[in-house]
Amino acid sequence: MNSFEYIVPDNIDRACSFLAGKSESTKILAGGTDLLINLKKGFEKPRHLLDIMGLKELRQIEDLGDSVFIGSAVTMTEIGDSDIIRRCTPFLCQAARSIGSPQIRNAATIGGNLINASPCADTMPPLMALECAAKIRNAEREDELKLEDLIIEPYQTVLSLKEILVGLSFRKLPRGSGTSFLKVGRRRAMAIAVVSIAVSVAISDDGRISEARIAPGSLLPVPSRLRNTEEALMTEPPSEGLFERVGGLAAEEAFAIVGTRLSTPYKKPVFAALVKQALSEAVQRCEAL
Amino acid sequence: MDPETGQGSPFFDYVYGTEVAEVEVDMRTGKVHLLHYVSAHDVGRAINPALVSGQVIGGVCMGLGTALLEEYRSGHGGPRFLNFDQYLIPTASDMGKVEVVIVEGNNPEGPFGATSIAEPAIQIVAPAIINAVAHATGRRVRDLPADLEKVFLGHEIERKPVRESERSRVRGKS
Repeated sequence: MNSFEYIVPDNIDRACSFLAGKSESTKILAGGTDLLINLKKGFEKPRHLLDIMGLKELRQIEDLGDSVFIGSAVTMTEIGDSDIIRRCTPFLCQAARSIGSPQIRNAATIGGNLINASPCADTMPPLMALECAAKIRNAEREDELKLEDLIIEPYQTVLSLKEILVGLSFRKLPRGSGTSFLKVGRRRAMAIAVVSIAVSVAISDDGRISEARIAPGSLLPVPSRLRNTEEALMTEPPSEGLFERVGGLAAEEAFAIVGTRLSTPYKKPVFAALVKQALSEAVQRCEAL
Repeated sequence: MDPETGQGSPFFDYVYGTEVAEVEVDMRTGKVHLLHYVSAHDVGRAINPALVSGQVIGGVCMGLGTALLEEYRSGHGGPRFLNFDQYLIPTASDMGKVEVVIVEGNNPEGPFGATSIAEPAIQIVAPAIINAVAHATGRRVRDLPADLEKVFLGHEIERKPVRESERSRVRGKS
């Protein structure tokens, strides 16, 4: 591993002004579960490592009434244990708890999971379903970006080297919503998702689905919702038959984007079944929220 | 064994064991989960039964990997998996409940009737698990590991050929 200078800024302004001057030679450390491996393998050779884990503004989960803010350096363990997250967005809790092992969850951050921009990032499906806005800072200004505009291709974001992801904010789901996150992995821990799904549904007084959000994981090259499938879900009252048909539609919509691959004979029917199960669970949980 | 002729009985004793696996198969995904496992072995006199149990439970864990996860794949002149992030082995969360039955038979050749309990604990685990999967699904996986795709589809996902021999096979087909 190359030697580097390890920098711990006192606050976010200092972190941004450091980046403004030395962005080319600096990597941001936010957990390091991917970065440290890349350093050891020599894939990355930064001269400076800017550790943002100590910045208070980045370490908070805040309930702001109508919306929730999650700092980018909040760990997966903290998200999994957070009362706010469990109450407002149970599927984000489930996704965070499904990652790696306790050691990895203690270090890994939600900002890192996002900025690494892996197609199989476990928190991406629920964050997409939540219509998150990413708060971005540099030395001069602060911006907000939608996730679909932040991640432009696998492992690639639009962030410049001078920018820091401060955190994510999202409006709370409609009252009475139910959510579900399901993940297929090859084993029960330390497993990268083979395919995953996050759904949230809200049911109106007449018993129909008034809002549906469906976001797959480990399937699409860049995160996206399945909008046509969501529309189809609202056409008739919820039933197992509807969920089954919608599962099939979801698979058609997703695989129209990715095309046929070697894994498609497995992934397509499994994804359809997963969508069906997730919808069924989410609808059952609707009153509980 | 006669040291002069090199002839005789190659093993002074054979090992005897019986194992039973109970699995749950998610038919929507092909995921197999080991629920319960009983492993009975004749080890002779168990001087330290806890050590014997540990050996047997470790064997079940290794056999579970053989059955469901582990596979050596080569390509480009070497092994394709160079670390345990790709070559998957079972984690503690994947282990089912294991019951160890120690049978204290008396093999006249071994000290205190001892036979052996190292490899014997591993060898019949995969067959027991694969038999349980076949019993649950009505379909038999005939080459290991019984991964998600093989259990769900009944056959392996077609892979891109990586070895010259595989390439020529593919060419021959078309």
